[in-house]
Amino acid sequence: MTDDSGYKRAYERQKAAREKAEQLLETRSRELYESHAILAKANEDLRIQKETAESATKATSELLTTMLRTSVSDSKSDSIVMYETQGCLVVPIQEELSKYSAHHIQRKVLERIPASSLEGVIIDLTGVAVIDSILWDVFSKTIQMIKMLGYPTVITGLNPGVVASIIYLNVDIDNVTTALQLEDALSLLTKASDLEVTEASSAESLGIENIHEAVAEKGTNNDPA
Amino acid sequence: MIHKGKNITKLELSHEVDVAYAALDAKTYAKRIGFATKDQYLISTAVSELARNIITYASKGCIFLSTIDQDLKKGIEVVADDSGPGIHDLEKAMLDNFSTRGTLGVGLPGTKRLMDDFQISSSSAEGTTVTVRKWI
Repeated sequence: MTDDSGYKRAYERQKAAREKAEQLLETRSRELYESHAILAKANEDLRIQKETAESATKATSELLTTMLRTSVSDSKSDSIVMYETQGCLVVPIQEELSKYSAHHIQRKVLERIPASSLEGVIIDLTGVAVIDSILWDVFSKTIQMIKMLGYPTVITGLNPGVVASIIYLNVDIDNVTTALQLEDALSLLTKASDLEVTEASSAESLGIENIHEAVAEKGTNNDPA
Repeated sequence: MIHKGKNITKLELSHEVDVAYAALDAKTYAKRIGFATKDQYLISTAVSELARNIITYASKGCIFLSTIDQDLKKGIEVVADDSGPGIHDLEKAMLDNFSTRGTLGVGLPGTKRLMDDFQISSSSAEGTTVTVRKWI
């Protein structure tokens, strides 16, 4: 009987210990499961962040590419900016050109000329950084075509680097008139015009008046001294 | 002894419009490694001619820009590489105003004048490779 109760007690103790152990195990595994879930969620968050960052980078680089792409003239765009001033047709070129867009400009200028009464044509290449032999050839031929339609052409806006390149390439420059700036090109083409002379002389007289005024002022200032 | 292969930039060419981009990229590259403004223009024009040749004769190809050193000199190396039909007569191709395509025919000799060093190899099997250098 004593043995029996001792056995029973041992059994109870064992049972209690096992239950406690099981409980502990269950708590631990629940904790583990929860921490795993937290980690999994964190991992997922990171993955989403990475994807967002990657797509943002991609979008930025695409945007940069698009920005770069727009800096070279696209031959598909139909409109060419041209304007007339003091009887001259000015064709400003603001971006790098492909061979096709140079031909497109040639076509548009030649179409425009018969409809206008002009002193001449000015091609302003200020915005063009690279003129290789092919582009020069297109411009040079355009100038000859304009000449055959009856008008002189002046090229303006060539920078020293572009000029050096053209000379090293050894392309034909004999038929091309150039001027440093747009104003110089305008005065080359319109120097015979009466309007220009009137403007110049009135400006001159204005200048002289100003000098007289300045001298007079200086004189009055000097008197008290 | 020329130390090669630093900061290699590869420019791929498959459309006519890529010519202008290659020239602009070369100008930016030359500026970054310290070339004077005038030389930046000469280099970009040379790259434009080489790129134009690739598009005209081989349809597509690549241009590699790299920074090179020799003794105390620093410079740019431009390698234009294509797998096109090759140049039949290299001597004639290097003459001014010779062209098989009705162009001005100043591309290769002009490029040689724009740069300091010029090498060309060409065969019908392997296409054409032009290597040019300019020193700061």
